[in-house]
Amino acid sequence: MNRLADGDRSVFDEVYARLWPILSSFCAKTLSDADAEDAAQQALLKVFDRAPTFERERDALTWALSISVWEVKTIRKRHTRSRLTALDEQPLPSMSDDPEGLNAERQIVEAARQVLGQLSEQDQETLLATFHEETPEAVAGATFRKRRERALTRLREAWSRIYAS
Amino acid sequence: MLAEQSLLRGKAKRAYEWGRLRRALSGSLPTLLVALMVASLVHEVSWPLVIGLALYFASVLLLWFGRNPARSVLPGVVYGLLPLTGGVFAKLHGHVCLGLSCYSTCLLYCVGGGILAGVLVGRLASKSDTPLAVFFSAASTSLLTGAIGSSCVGVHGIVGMAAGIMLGTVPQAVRWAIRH
Repeated sequence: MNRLADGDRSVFDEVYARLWPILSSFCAKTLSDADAEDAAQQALLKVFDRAPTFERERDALTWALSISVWEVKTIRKRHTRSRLTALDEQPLPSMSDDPEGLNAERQIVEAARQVLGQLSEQDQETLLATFHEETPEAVAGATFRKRRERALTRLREAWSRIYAS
Repeated sequence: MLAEQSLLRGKAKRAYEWGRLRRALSGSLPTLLVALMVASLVHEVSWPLVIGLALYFASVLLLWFGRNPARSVLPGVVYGLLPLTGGVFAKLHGHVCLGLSCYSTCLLYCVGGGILAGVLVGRLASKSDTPLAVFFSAASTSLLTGAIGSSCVGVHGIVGMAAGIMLGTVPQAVRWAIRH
């Protein structure tokens, strides 16, 4: 490697022949077959690209393997990132497409209506305004917050009265 | 499989050469800085920059090639700074007056600097295991570096400096020839 760093092209084939099996077997131990091939090739190209900057004091094998480790890490990171992206792009399961889900959804809506029907008109208005993230103009902010608290408590009580038993 | 391997080997070779070239291109940048400094010092842009570019490309070629010629680039440039300084000094204070008569010192500075650089280049080459390669590499870079400064005083400055470098290497060349 020292001679290659110095510009001696006659040792290129020898360095290549010695490095390639080491790098490919190292990558094969840490990645799947297809990824290992990619990582080993990238590492090999980087080793030769950086060969002119190789420092004589360093151990050539350790240096080449550290480049391979970097490549392996890069490929692993890329895989993690692509898995995350795939999860993000996956649409949420639509209940309306599923007959069972649709039925459950209807039942929940019906239950919510029934519970809401138990509440006073003011509580219903307060909860609706909360749902739409609105604050009625006629009511002061602090008053509305208190009303909301009370309405939510009553909603919980009504819900547990009907469905908890 | 064999085709893939040969393809990969080709790619690796290109990566290696490209890596060498990139390093040579960035490693030679100081030569352009020297040319720019001289150009700003003597308020003359064309010749110092033209010769500076030639020095830059010569340096890139030698550094890319590698081995002893590459190792001789830095000493060559450093030795070339002697005639360069002489040339710039000659441009700024180009004459000496003794009594009523004034004498031009351009040639003295250029040739003197050239001889000094030549002696050092000869010494460097004689110590190497490939003296001819080192000589041509160091002499060409010191000649071009010196020429950046000597160009300020005209073509005769460059010719004088080149003659000085050749003259300076003669003793070392003779000594080397006797030894071998």
